[in-house]
Amino acid sequence: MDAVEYQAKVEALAEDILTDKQLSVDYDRKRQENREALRILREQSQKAKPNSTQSTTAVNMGDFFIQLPLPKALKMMEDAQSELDKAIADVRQRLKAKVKLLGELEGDERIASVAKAMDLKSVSGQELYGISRK
Amino acid sequence: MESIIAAKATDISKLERTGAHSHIRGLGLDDKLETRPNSQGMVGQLKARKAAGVIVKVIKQGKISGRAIMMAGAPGTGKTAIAMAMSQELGDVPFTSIAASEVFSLEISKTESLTQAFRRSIGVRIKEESEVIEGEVVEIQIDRSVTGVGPKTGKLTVKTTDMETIYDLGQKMIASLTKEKVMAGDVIQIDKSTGRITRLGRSFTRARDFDATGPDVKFVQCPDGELQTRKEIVHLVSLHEIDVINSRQQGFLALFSGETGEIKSEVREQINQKISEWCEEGKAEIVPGVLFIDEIHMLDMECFSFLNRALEDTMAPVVIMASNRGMSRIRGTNYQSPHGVPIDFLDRLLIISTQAYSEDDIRQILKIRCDEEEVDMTEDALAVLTKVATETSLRYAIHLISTGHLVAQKRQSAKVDVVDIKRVYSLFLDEARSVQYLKDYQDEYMYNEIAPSQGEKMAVDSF
Repeated sequence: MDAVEYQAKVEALAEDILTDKQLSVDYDRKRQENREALRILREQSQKAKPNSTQSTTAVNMGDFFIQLPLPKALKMMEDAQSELDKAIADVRQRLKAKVKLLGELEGDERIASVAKAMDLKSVSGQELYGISRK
Repeated sequence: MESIIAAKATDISKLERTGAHSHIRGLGLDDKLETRPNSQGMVGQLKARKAAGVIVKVIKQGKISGRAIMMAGAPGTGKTAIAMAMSQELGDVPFTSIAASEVFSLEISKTESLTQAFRRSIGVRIKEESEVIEGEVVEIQIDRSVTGVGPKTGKLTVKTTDMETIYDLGQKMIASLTKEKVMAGDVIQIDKSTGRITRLGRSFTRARDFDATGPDVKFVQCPDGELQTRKEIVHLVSLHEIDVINSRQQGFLALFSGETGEIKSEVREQINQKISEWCEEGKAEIVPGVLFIDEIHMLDMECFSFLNRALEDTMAPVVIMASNRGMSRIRGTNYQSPHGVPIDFLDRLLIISTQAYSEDDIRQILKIRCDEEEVDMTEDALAVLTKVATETSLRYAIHLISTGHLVAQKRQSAKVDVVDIKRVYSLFLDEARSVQYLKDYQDEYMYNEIAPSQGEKMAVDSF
């Protein structure tokens, strides 16, 4: 029974990791679309004269469109963008922890050691090159 | 009547030269550190291999530093072979191998040379991360204003197998793209923090665009997954490399050219401090490695005193030394000492001794070398070669393997036989026969200094 349980755990974890990978791809796609929309909105708001028809934009909310003033729409998009960034960072964090767990469970030394090394905080090139220059 | 000579092009990159120890893959121990008699290229020498296995296990745990081990034994007993095997077993751990004579150089002092060797054996693991955009270029559109002056604007369409998006380009990005000559169909990688563009190749789907392409064109698959990913790369650099990078302006160039010169001790101290800070912050990890010094008897007293002190440092690697001298003079002095090494230094060492090989061991080693050098030998030839090895030396017999192979090819035979061994035995002299030949014909050699027999007088003596 132990072997079956272990195998089930490993498979569930692997499935989890694959779902997370797909999730980060979807988030990134959304983020890129958002970014394009943001750019167009920004250009439009720069060129627009206040209180003309061009100062509002129609935002797609699933089934219907809502006409919003440009600054409000801009703010909504920017909020969505920062939320997406945060969500992607979260997914990556979870993904790293799960891969590390999988490496340990499967006893694959290479993956386990690489995952452990990934826990280090990053060092930038300037830090490395600038040790002796105070 | 035309004869077509077909030229076979050999792929140079695949040519592997067999070295003296290229057949060694590991120490040949099982999980319980028991030695298998013939495994992973190592034969016999059971005690020494087991001791080496214990040391490797302790090193891998990473808890000890500054230990010194000496491998002592007659020439041709496998000292360097065991050191090679240990380096294979350690894998990721930095393994530096020097000969003691390398320490003496005109450009840098002996202590600097030794310090550099020490710091080359200590690794630091660091991680570098960057946000990159990786994808296949669908279209690049760069607009110049009608008047000809003014900034260019542009749009770049990039895609992966899962998504596609358009980027608006700024001045600098347009300049980089034009400089890199990026075209539609190229797979590129843009580093978001530095703005650097790397061309990874051309996409397979666009391979048919042109009938003739240049020699450097690499075809790669269109990347899959997200467009903007974070790449994290883990590097294992040695303390010596960090020293060199920080020793002067553009220090990384010195890494490639090798002319590092003397590095100031203030720089080294700053680096030590910074690295320990990073270790505490979780930004770096120290990986202590192994320094192998061959022919340790070539070091002089100053080097030994330096080593005494250096081994007591907290960040010292494990040092393995090899010596084949018995009771001999310490270099630079007149004192006799075991292995050519001062006694106080010997006191700090763990000594592993290697014994001469038995005839059966020699036979197996020769068989392994035959396999390694891809030479087919008959059983009789192998027996004769083993006899030769026991009477002369193991190295001489190993040399006879490839030369015997050439002689066998000359007489159109695939296998090396006794007649081939006899031929090369007569062609190439071993050490004992060479000395005998020398003694017999000493008068005919130039600058001969062996004293002539009593009856003769030298021309000089008549004065």
